[in-house]
Amino acid sequence: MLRVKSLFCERDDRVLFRNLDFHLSEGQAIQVQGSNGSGKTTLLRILCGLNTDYTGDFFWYDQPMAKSWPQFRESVFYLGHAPAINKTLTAEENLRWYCASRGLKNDISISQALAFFGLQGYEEVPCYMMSAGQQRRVSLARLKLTNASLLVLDEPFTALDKRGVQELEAMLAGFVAEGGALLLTTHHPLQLECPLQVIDLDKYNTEAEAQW
Amino acid sequence: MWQWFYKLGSPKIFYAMTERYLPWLTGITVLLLGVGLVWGLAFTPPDYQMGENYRIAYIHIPTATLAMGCYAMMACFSAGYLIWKIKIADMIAKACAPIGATITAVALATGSLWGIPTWGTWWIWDARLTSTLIMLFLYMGIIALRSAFDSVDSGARACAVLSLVGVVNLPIIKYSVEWWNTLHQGASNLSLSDTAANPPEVWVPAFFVGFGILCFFLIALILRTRNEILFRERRAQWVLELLSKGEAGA
Amino acid sequence: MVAGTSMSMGSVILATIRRELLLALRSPGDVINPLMFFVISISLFPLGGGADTDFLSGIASGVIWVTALLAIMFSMDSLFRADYEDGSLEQLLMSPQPLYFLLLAKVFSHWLLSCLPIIILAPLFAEMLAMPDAGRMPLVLGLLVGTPILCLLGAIGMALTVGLSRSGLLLAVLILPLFIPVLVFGTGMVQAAMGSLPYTGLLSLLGALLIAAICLSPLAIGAALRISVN
Repeated sequence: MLRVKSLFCERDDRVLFRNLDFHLSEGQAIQVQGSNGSGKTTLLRILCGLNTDYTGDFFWYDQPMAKSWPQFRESVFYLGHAPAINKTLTAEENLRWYCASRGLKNDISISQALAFFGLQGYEEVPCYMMSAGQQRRVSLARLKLTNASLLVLDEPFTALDKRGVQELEAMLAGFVAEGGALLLTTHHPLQLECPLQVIDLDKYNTEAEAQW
Repeated sequence: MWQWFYKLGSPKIFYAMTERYLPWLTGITVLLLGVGLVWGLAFTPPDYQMGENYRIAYIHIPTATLAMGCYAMMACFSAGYLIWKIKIADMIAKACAPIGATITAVALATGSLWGIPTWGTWWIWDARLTSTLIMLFLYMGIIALRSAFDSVDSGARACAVLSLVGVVNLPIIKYSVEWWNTLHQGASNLSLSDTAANPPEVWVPAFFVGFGILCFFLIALILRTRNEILFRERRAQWVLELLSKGEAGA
Repeated sequence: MVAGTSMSMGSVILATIRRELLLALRSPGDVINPLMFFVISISLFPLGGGADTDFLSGIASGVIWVTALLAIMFSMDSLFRADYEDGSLEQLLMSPQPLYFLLLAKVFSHWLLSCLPIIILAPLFAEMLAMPDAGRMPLVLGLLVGTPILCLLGAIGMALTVGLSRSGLLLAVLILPLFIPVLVFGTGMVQAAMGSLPYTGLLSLLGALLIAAICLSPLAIGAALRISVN
């Protein structure tokens, strides 16, 4: 469903990656690896249309991305470093806004989604009163509400406790098994119960350094 | 023709081509400005109403016209950069801002100098002076915005958006200031800027100076753009070769 | 995952307005401070320039308009800042719903919160600054039509500078020159009415500017936001 062709990205006169090609289809998971500053976040943001400092092509269901942004936005879920949770609003208000802004209508309620991530009884709690891990859980509860077929997750395990990590891993594996596509970065040793492809960004910038 | 423009879009070729044309342009500028200024300032008969004072118009009118033209030009290049992502268009747009601001400041200064003998005061809230002042503010905003960005690309795009917003607003601002001015005081009489009403001895040198200043503007623009090219392409092979050649020659 | 169906555009707009109002309710400072700025700055003019009635009525429309304009400019910071910092802005930009209407809804709620109170208070201050009665109606009408334009233009400036850590007064440098036509027409309406002249022509000019601003500025705001999150 998502194909990337000879992607090149340079930031502050440093090549992050070049000639990056990969293909992600339904029921597949890709983990983007690399040392700090290797451009993992940048790659994810480029694919989501949030960063435009690149050259190369990418395709959504064999259509150039430039033409298929609306369809792509319908079906992608992005979670960045920032939790995208407004701290003055409660957990429920945050999630309700998320559903409304994406035009989602759900079979499961917001409190069920929160309960799945262990936040029963936190619906009415303003997010500034929560710990970083709990805020991350509110953010992740959107995974239960979205109808996306592609998840793009940037360090989703940050601030989660051990059990939270296991639960999220199980959930992501289930998502991929059901035919979803997953693209994520993490420094945590992944234990996904599904086929996992690894892209090591450190391998894509060496050629560049040799040239200079 | 298109091929030519396409080639100019490449910074390297722009650099090489302007290198070839610059001496010619410089020669033409010196000629135009020299003839125009000497003729206009020394030989043209004084005006029957304003005496010698009106001669400042030889500098004031071209700069005031160019101030606005430069903004329009900057907006065009900004649009070119936003739509087609032509890097050189942004470099030219970047060069436009400080030059345009300087020209606007010159227009303002000459305008107020002219005001002393004409209106008895160096500043009045005349429609043209006021909209030129606002023009200067717009340039300042663009320069300030660009310098606030660390990333060259983000700064370039932000400035492009701002100059497009500015160019849409410019006619509205100009119109509103003119309307405001007629409400508060009678329109100032600057009919001397109307070249058609004056004898050829007056407006021929004015054309010399006008085109001279235009050429001077182009030289400044090209020089600034070339600097910007060298800075942004400092890692490129051709710039490194150019620099090493320069060092060897020195 | 849950199957979802698309909701209508209208409910998305309503949800956006609801969220912004809720946020204002939770942190009322964002709404009250610009209003207090407006009230206090206007009170400074008689203190600084003298309480002479003739003098005050001469500058009343200008003072109210300029102060309202500055208050709106200062209030802009709350429009995108929090969303930028917590990542909501990225989600907004990735929403499958048309960004144009989402942004328009956001600016509209901002106008409701920061401009409407000013417009309601304006006749009171017109009275305190000894503005003749004839000026009151055009003042309020002008503010009603003019302040949304200021909000839309201000949102462009804010969207351009929201990503900058040290933006400071840069916003003022960028957008105050763009505010000039609205200021000129708005005060012109009051002055025309005080000189017993019709002011409807100017009002319709402001209305034309508002329509143009509604049509064009969400595009500029969207483009600027995309640059800022880049």
